[in-house]
Order: sequence, then structure tokens, then C-alpha cells
Amino acid sequence: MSSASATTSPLTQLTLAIAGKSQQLDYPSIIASTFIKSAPVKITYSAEKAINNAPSQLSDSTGAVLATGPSEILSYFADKFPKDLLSCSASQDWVKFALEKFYVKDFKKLSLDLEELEQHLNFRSFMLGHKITLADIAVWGVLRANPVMGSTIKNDLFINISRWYTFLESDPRFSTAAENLSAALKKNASEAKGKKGEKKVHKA
Amino acid sequence: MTDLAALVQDLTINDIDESNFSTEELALKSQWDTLTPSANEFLPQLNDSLRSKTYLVGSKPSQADVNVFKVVFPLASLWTSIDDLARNRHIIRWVDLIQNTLVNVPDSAKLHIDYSVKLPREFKK
Repeated sequence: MSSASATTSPLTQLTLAIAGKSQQLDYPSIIASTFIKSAPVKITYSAEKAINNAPSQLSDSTGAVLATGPSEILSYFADKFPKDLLSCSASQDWVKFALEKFYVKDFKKLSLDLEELEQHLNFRSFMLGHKITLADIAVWGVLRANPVMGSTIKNDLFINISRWYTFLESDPRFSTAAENLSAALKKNASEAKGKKGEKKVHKA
Repeated sequence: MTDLAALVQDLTINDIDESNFSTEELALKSQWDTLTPSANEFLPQLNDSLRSKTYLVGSKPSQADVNVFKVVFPLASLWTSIDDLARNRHIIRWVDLIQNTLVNVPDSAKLHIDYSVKLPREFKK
């Protein structure tokens, strides 16, 4: 290979930092990063509620912050890696919709927007077209992060959503996002405990 | 109708990897292969199955999708009323997936899907 074809220098190593205790866990960015083949994305997890007031942050190897929060991070990924992450204006609309509407835990409110998604998935196997796009990643990731969705999916309250969700879940790039996060948090916790050398005693 | 049927015979099948199928997936695949000849009778059953499965065996494409597609494709173009579309909504979704991924159908011959049609919401029975 000629050196001209090497487009990724070591400097393009990206780090995605995830606040593992965020109320709006950024699964979309974790999943999106597993689709990126052009540059290595390292994911770090912390047991924090926020990083700079956001659920996630993307930085380069010098530590410079490139994007903060799922909306900026997904735009950055889609912009820089269009071959790895299929995106278009319609998928950007769904990203916005997902981030605004599908973290909502009030089921009455949430279900109105789920009905819109259910209607959209009539005649559709993927969110858009016939391949995984950023729209699938964003909508799936936010629903995965929403604690009220587990039983909603399992009980087929929205038939099309359940089928589409289960289909993507069978893809390891989707299903491992949550597993990796919980494994990393467990590891962090046990390491922290080991450092202190004693069990933390609750004051209450 | 005759044109469509003739066209289906000429479909080119893209590569499908079935080497990593589970026993359940293989069983479903052969179930659909056996049912294929009596298409008109099994349409409700096909629609029911595709309600929760993206492909016939679940999350992966198989040769059964192609075989059943050949039978169902000419029938699907006859569904035009909202009732027909609603009753066969999962088959239509699947036909659209197969015609755009597993087989080569000329664009002009593809089943036209109007994604904007509003169907009554379906509830689990």
C-alpha cells in the first residue's frame, strides 16, 4: 500500500466518553461508533450522571473536545464517516425526533410519539430504505435507554415497533451496546472498591 | 399478471449464507418450503408470521424467502384497497424488503409501495 492511501493517522483516534449513570444514556453514539471502520473509536465508561452537563463527549487523541452529547456526536460521525454510517436529511429528522421524544418516561406522552413510529413502520423493515441508517441507530438506541420500553416491546403493545426492534437487537452491533456498558460499570465499581480496600458503609 | 409471473421466473438470486442457521431457523425454513404450493390458502398464515419476523425464519434471510416471494409477488400487486393493504400489511412490507435486497427485480416491475397510506393501528389479539 502506498502511503498516500493511508488516510487515518494515529491522531484521528477518537475517544467516546459515556456517562453511565445519565438519565439519557447515549446508546445511539455507542452503537454508531461500532459502525465506524475508518477510524478507531475507543469507548470509555464512567459512573457519572453527566460529562460537562451532557450524557457523552467525543474527543480526539490530544484531548480536544470534538462534540458533546448525542446530537452533536451523531452529526460529527455522519459528517466524517459517510461510508460507514448511512445518513440523509430524513435520517437527521428521525435523530432529532428520537432524541427529543423517546427519552420521555411518561408513558401517556411517550405513546403518542410511539404511535407515529408504529405508523411509519407499516410496510417498512428499516426506518428508511432497505439498510441500517443513522435513523435506525438513533431511534433504537434511545428506546433501548428508556426503561419503560422493555415491557412495551416484550408485550407487543406496538406490533411493528416490536418486530423492528427485535430484528435490530439480533445484530451484535446493537445488542452489545448495553452489555458493554453494564460490564464496564461493574468493572469500574469493583476496581474502585479494591482501591479503597474496604467496603463503603452507608451513613443512613 | 402473466407478465409478472414470467418475470419472477427470471429472477436472479443473490447469495444467501445459511451456514450458521440454528435448528429452529432450519425448521422454519423447511416449513415454508413445504407450504409454498398452496399460496392462496397460506396468505393469512404468512401475514401472521411476518407480523413478528422480519424474514420468514426471523432475523436472517433464507432461500425460503426467495421461494415464497416468487409465489406471492404476483398476488401482492392485486392488493389495492385499504382493507387489502391492512389485511396483508406484513406481507407487503416483506415483499418490499425481498424485492430490494434478495432478488433482482427491474425497478419498473417492482411492487409499488405507498408508504404514506395511513392504516388503522393493529393490536395484539
